[in-house]
Amino acid sequence: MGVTSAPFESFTSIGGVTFRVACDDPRLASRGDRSLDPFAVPPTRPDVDIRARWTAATDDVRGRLVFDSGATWQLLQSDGDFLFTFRSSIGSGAPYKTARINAWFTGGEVQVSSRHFDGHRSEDVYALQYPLDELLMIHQLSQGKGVEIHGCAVLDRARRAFVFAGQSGAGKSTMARLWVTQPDAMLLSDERVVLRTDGDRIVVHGTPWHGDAQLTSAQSGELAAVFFLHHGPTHRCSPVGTSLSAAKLFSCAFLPFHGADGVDRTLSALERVARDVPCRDLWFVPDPSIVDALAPYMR
Amino acid sequence: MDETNATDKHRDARKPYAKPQIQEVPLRPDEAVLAGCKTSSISGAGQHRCTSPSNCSAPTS
Repeated sequence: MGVTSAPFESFTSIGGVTFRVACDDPRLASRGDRSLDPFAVPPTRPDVDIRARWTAATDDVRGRLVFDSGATWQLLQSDGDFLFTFRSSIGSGAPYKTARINAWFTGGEVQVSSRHFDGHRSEDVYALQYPLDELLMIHQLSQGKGVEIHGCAVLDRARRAFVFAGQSGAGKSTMARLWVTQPDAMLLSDERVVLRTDGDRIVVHGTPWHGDAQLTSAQSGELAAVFFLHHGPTHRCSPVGTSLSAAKLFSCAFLPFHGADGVDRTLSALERVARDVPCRDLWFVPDPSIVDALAPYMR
Repeated sequence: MDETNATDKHRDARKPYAKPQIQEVPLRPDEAVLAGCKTSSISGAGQHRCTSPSNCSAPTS
């Protein structure tokens, strides 16, 4: 898809995937809370090129239903494109936003309903607002580039990345807060990281999608180890075999469930992580002593 | 090389049989498909469970 000019545009790079949003209204091109600022990059050829515009009535949403999230979004297939629809519990029931994306997830058009947002004023009308930004990321990664997982990640002085993976409540933000004061460590995220598996090394990238500790970074580093988080009465670490590690990673991963090929490639990414780096179960108490307790496993 | 001896040595080196075990790994479908609200990504009127245009009422991070 060729890059077209527009009065306003923004470029962001997350996990090595560059997104361009082009539009006539600057509010559609950037997040109101500025949380994307660290991920802004100079204009370049994007991996995903999005044209955004206001519309009185969102695009015709006819198509074959491919996936229903059970909440805000659905995915349809329409005229060879993918069509995401986003609905809110407030409003008329019509989509407040649609995103028509090509089959390769390299570009498309986002339509934002002016009727909806006129009725429900919001400062934040970013075209790729959650969950569309992550949906595009997941599909981009599932082209064989890697996988996004629920995980907090720490970068050491040698730029080695240690991922602490877990579902909600496992202790990601807690672990992040215990690391954030360490002089030789940098937090990549307290909630979600991107693992790129399409190079010689597996690289961990921070993302803007933070958790309760609100820690984000656009930095990256080579994956050195994965810890599966559990709350426990004492600090304890135990190795996990490759198969079980892959299953545990799967439980923390975001997958394009509607497409077998994308799921297959994502599973391959998880398999490589489980095979190539040490994976361990980690039980911990929320105490700063966990940093020293982990030292033998982070050498 | 004595093939029989080599085979015997190989047999001796085998790990003892361990019965396969099934281990369950719980899944959270709502998290996996980006169905819930996120405190990190409030989209005002966009959230399915939101009752307010500007604040998320159901953070599930």
